[in-house]
Amino acid sequence: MPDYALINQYLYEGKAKDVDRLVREALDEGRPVDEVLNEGLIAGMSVVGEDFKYNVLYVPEVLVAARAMKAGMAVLKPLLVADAENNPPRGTVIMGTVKGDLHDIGKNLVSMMAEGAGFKIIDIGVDQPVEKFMEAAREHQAHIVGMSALLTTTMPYMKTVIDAFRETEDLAETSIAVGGAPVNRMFADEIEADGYGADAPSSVELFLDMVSAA
Amino acid sequence: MPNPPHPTATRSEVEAVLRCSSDAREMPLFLPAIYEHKAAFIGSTPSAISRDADLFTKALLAEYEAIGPDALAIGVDVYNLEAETVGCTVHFYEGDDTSIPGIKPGNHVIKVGDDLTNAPLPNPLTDGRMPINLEATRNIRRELGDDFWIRGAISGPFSLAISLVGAEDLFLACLDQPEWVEDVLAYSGRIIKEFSKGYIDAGAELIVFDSQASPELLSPTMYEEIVLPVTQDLVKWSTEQGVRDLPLIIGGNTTPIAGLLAESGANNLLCDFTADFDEWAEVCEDNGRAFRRNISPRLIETATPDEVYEVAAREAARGKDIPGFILGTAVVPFGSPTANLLAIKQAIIDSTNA
Repeated sequence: MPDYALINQYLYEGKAKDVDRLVREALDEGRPVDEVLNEGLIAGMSVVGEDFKYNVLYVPEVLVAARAMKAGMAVLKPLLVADAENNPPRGTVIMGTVKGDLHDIGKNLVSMMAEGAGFKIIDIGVDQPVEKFMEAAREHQAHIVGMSALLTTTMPYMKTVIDAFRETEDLAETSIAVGGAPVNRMFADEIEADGYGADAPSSVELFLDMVSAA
Repeated sequence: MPNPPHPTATRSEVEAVLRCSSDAREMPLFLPAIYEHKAAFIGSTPSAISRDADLFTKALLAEYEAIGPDALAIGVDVYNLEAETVGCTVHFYEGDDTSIPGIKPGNHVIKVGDDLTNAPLPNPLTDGRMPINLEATRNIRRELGDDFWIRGAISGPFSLAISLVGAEDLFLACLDQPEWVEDVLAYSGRIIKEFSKGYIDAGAELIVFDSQASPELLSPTMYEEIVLPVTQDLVKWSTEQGVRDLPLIIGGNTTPIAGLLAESGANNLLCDFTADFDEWAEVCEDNGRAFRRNISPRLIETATPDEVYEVAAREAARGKDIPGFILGTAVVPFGSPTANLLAIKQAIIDSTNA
């Protein structure tokens, strides 16, 4: 039986090479790919998320952990793709920073953690107009659209995106989550977002709630 | 000379507050953070005024005339100026788009591990948009005279390093290659000093912005080990240049690093609207630092003047007996109502008369 606790620990410490090695060893032992993913990587990343939420870890530590997660995912991904029917992602999320906003660290953190939790992430980048969100949502049949803004000036554009989705028949049911430093729950309610992520780990919890409610 | 809606503080009044002097005036200083919103005072856009010294000057004078702050800050898209002079591409918005210019991810000029020994330094008189800021500074100094406090906005070392390297790469390097991060911060410090020299020669003092070093991103330990030494060096150097009063502005909840910020040597620190007022007040009183309390930008943008007044009056009352207390705002969103900014000033005046 692979030592999943050790994979979790190496992931937490950002030791990418060790995560890569132990993931390969687990597969060599004949463990199912979804088990290695869930117990080795996703479980490890969820501890990182919790500790980030409570200021035990900060952005640099989360980024090295995410890099270690990616190293493990690189081993698993071809197998997951080959057996997609038995290992579907938890959901597809379009992630983007809204028009007029060029900041991406918050969006990237949410993307990394959500990927670590088993979501398929389509990152459309920064400074994105409503059309790009809609186009990506259609193309990838997204369950969720996650929007980020760092500036108070760009926050109102989130409402523009939400209104456009609601008014478009084939996209009206898409769940929309918002977040970013100046955004709060009151604002999210005001613009009628389906959910608000106060930080990256909370956003992932929100995504999980959204797909389980769907 | 433009007429503000109420008398503004004289230089000696500002200095007395910032130095927490026992004879400082009772009325808190009114220091709203107006950057992109400057353009709104003249019906222009941040991208336009940040590229034209005449427009920028008009916007600054219009800000002075509309709300009468106790100081003006020369800056629009503050975090871009230094990085632009050494090769980062700033994205501007054309027409009536009021978005704030910025550096797009990927448009950074330094790769982790680069040897920075001979990395270029800017000439503030000729490079990038620094000459525009310096010309606006000289214009404002000429218009408002020597008795008004004008601050040239400069990036803090960590925030500039993020512009130069990119956020993710720099954050990762903080753990992977901390010695190289010290090098890039030292380089950032050298760039900032060159820009600062330009401001000082043009007749301004300085205000440092380093919000990317907020404990919402970087741990207090990393702040202490990596950022604080280069910040202390910048403050010491500024003092040697004759800039005795230096605000160090880091937004967000900075309560966990309040003590470290007091150690930076900057004599005016920021307690943002999300930070703990009481803890901050104690740190500032213990260390003899002036402390600016911010009002939420969202409130200023969307509330009524009465609602803004109520919050400002409450904050002014809390700070009334604290030496060096200043009432300010987080960065005011473009197009926020002037009446809401004036409501803050009115609350300050009334708190003194109460």
